[in-house]
Amino acid sequence: MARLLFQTLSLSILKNDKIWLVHPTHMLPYTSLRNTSFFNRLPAEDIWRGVTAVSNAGKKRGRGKGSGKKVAKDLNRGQTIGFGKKSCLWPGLNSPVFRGNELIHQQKTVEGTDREYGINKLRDSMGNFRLMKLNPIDRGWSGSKMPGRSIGPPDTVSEEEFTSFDTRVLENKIVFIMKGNMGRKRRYSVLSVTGNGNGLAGFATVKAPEVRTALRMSKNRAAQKLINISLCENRTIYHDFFTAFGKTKIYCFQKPDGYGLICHRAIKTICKVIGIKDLHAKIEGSTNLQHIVKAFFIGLMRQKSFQNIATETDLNIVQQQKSKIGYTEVKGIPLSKPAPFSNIQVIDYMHYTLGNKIVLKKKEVSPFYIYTKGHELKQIKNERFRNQINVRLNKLVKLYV
Amino acid sequence: MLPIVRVLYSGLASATRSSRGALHTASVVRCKAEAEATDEKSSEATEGEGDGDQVSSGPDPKDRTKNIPVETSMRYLKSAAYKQTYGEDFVWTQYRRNHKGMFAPRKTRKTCIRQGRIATGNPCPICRDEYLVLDYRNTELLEQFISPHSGDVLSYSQTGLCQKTHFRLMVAVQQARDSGFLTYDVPFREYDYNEYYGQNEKQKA
Amino acid sequence: MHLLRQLRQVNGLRSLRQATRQVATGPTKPATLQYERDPQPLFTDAETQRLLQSMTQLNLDRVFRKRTVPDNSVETKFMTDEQLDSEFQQMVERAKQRLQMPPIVTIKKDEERIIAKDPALKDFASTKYVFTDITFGLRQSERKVVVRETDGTLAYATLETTKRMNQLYFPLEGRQSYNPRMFLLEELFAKCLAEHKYEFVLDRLLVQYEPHEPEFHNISARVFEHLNESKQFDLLRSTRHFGPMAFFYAWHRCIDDLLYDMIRRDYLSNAVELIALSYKIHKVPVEYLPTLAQLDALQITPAQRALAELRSVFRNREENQGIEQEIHTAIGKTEQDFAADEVSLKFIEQYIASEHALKKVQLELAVQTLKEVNREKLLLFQGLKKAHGVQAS
Repeated sequence: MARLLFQTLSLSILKNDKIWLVHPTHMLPYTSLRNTSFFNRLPAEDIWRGVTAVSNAGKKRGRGKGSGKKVAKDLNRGQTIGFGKKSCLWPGLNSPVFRGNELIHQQKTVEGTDREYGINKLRDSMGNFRLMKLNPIDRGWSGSKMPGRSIGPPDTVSEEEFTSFDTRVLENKIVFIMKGNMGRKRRYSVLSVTGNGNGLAGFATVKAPEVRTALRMSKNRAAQKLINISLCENRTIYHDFFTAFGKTKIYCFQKPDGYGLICHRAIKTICKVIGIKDLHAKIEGSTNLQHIVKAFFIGLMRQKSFQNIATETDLNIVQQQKSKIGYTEVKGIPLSKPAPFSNIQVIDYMHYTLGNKIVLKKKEVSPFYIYTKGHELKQIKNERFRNQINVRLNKLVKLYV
Repeated sequence: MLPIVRVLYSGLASATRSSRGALHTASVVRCKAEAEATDEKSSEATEGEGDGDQVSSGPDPKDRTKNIPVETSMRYLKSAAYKQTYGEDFVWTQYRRNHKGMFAPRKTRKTCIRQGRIATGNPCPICRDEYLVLDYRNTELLEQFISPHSGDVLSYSQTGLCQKTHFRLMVAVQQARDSGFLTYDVPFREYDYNEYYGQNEKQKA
Repeated sequence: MHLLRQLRQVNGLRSLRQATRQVATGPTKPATLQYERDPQPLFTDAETQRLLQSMTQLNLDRVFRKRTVPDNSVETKFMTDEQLDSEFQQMVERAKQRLQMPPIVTIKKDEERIIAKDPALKDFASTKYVFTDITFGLRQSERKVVVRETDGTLAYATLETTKRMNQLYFPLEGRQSYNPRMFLLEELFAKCLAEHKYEFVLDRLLVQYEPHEPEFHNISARVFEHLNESKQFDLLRSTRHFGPMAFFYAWHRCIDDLLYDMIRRDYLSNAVELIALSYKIHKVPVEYLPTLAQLDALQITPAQRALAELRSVFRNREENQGIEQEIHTAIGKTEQDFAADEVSLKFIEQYIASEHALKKVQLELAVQTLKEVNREKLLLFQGLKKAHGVQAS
């Protein structure tokens, strides 16, 4: 035990000697020293990569992603030249050389510990980057993914601001192409739609090597391709229509006030951006997103006004609202008076607007259990309670002061 | 302003503060943004918030045993504190249910308040703000839950109310209609004049 | 502890129930004006009906205002001109049906009508037995409801029981089995009136009560009295309640406020009709029939006017009668209207001068203002016609 102590003691003495030799501040250096290590040979970027990077094999397995990811810290942030651990006054560096006629000398100033504390705090905050909590309203279609999320209005163009516009991402995916010298080249493809909520909208697909640039570029390009879409009563489409692009077929139906958007999520997002509030849409065939967007926009652009339909068919168009007890509103009147005898075959309006297409309506399949004995028994059991909730409600309604 | 009223205002502000934990970030951000606006009422509200800081450590924000009168609630719905929290939206528009998987369960939770305390992390729009009192006199609140098209009470799948609160809402709306606080479209009644005037008057009528 | 709390709750409920019972027995303040004799013969008179309908007017937008319905879908259709025209006619018919006035009848008194007394059946049961005829397709008044009392008497049921049994087996949509709080509590009723929810109150009244019930008379009279004070007559125009309201005022000799409102809004022919109605009811020896005939010749009925308005969509296509039509729409009156105005003004002034008018100064002032406005309009009208070179017909 004592020997061990002695050994360490002597070792420390030896060490001290060595240091004495290596760092002689008041002696000329005779020994040849190589003050180099990877620490001062490599740039900061490379050193940080050594700490934070994941091996190639690891990357392939998807390591180094997500919340536990290490991030390089910029140690220069918060530091200024002339201010260090020892707070000193350096004339010409962090203070003027003359104050009035008096020459200022290099001197110590009062200790300030909060500077170092501030820098450390800043470094700590840099390391663990956390995603900002998103308002449930602003969430996208799924998780923390981009599709469905808003990326703000398009950038200003020469002081022209587009504050009334809103852009939403519809598709954000990685695409590859083969290059002669680079092999598989990876890019990000973003499809987004922008609109002012009042009938002006555009969409664009953009590919870029970075997600952020792709988002920005697609947003701005969509703003350059605006299409004017006239809205019926400022809330819905003019009439039911059928539209297709490729193998994607969409049936859209005009709906009354308060119906909402009952359709594919992409169409819903587009409608919100355009300003359509009530619509029902059914997609048949392929649900390729790019095709849905294109087909829907084509359909919107091909809408006819009531007056146009009336002139085409030589028939009056009327609307009967159930909320107004069947009040008949004339929406379009043909320019020329139709033939006096009614030998014109009156066509069905829906058939006309859908281009004689008929929506496939599948027969509703009842669930398998409704023919089982157990289900029947349950129904018999529940029958006596079927009006219980209303009875309770009525009883409570009468009990008030 | 009367001191009593001032105390009340500060109470309201602190209430919204405490319930804000349950509210979403956006509204808080908006609250803060609006708090900066220096109109007379909001300055009062922020003043109240300052007072609330000391108070907030005291009472339990999840406690719901205190009985709040309807009159207070009706005044709250008109106050600046309410406007800060909800803006122009309905009480339920910014609320989202928490659930696993793609689709929410068909029914909402049975109740948010158990044994006088909020028993969940995401209480429904009425339960989270104790100053929203469901009562037949509180028409301003009830109207937010009635569809302008069908005239019915909106479904809980749309508003996110818990089952108990939804039932209380139904009762309150029925009572409000019965006592004439809320108007609705009364079904049309067609009269058969013969029933009242006899057969011989038919031609005249 | 729990038991104690429950007990307290029960106690609370009991006091609440007592409160409700008190409420149920306390009726609203009675109206000051009541029909002292049977108004029915005068009301069902064909001429009265015509006058009331004309006064009600027919504003299609108001009759077919947006209502809350379970399914508010919209149907779009193609129609030929013939179909459209018949649709318009049907629409006006439907509007007329919607404006059907609730009948005005006297209050029915309960009378005891005993069918049989069987003392042998005394105490056979501790409760009354009510027998209801539930044959399909009978009218409410024809349905027989009889009660076997506990002392063995078999009698026709009271009106209240009859109504209740009717509601039980053949429920009328919107009618409650209890008296709505709105009609029972004076402060709630007053609140509704103060907020001018007249149409709602009256609509609800029609559904809840039968026209021969005292509550019906009382509440409708209170509403009309309040209306006469608040002077918001326009809220009831183009609804089914306007006719009964005018009839009520004419009956109780307080038409002046309504008359003033009509003159101010330039419904002169309506004013004449109102005066004529009051003359008719009180049998005042003034010849009003010639004036009415004159007006009839010059003007069309509200239903016809509504139909013409609907049909104007066809006219837009044939733009041959442009300028004259344009002048008419710009001024809002035709030559016939001006002629009718003159006739009716003469009649109204005659009324104001008579001893029947109570608010003479106010009415005179209104007539004067209207005259001036009319004169200016007429000048403008003639000037425009001259400028456009349209022949004065």
